[in-house]
Amino acid sequence: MQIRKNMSVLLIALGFLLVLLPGSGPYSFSVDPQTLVTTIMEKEPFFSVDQVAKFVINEDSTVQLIDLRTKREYDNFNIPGSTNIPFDEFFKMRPETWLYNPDTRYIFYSNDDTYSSYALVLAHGLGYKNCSIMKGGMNEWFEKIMNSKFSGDKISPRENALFETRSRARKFFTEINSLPDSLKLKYAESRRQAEKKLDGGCE
Amino acid sequence: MITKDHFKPGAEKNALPALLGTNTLELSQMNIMKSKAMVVYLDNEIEINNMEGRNVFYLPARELLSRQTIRRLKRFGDTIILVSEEANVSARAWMLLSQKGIENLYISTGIEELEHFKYKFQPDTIAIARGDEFN
Repeated sequence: MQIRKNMSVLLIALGFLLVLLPGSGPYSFSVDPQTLVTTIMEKEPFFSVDQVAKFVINEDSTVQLIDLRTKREYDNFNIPGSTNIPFDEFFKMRPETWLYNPDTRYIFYSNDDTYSSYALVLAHGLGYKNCSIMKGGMNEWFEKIMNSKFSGDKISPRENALFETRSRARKFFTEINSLPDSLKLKYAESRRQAEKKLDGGCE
Repeated sequence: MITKDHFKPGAEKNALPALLGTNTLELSQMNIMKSKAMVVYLDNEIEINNMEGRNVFYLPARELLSRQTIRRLKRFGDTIILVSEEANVSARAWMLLSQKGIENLYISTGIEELEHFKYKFQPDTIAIARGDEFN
């Protein structure tokens, strides 16, 4: 009798644990609808590709880019420092699996804005306010960062800074995506060392 | 004004058509369905005067989840098509309304295929050659 009672208590405790553990399972929107509409539809938590380019070249550790494209697309090329969570996996797993750090700014991107917009609403609806999207996605990245060219006689200091950022991001993107996976980490480390040398300063 | 009701339970189930890609309508499909569908414009700028006679209305962002909007959409009971010039606007609206339990809800994709990558990546052959440095 005692064994049966102990077993029941153990099973109930196990059930509670399973409910609390992150993983697959049902989840529902928990935020106030008006707040959600204001944030998602009116404030629009977006970053431009130029802002993302800055994060990338500075290797900003407070930002985590989440690439929602397929694994195959990601393996072909991706924005340096991004993590691949294919759109279907993002939906199947509970979001805390990916968005667990409240101090990190998560930025979603896909080829255009559709998948990232779905993910944005889902994340905010579940209370993850630290999520945004890179507006325009990979198409915008290629249009503005990879294919941008300056044409004109004069360039303002602001334009110059913008083109400098784009040029550095383009170089980083192209070089790292041209290398085999085995060399990408070494390349990033070597780049970091080179930037340190350029910055100068005392050790 | 927003309803006091919470969202429909099961966020991932509500979002399933987005995952399967069954929530989109091409322009040609939209034209076929136009007689019985409700067309909801999400942009202020879009001209809707030439859509007279059809069940068309403009829905401002702030009104998206209002009690009145939800009641109107639920009462309609047939196909509802969200239209915007920007794919991200209709995608966000679709996800919000789906979580409120609105069914038969579609987004119009226009001419361009959603999530289609338009460019080609050109690897840097010099960088590939220089890769030997990191070996």
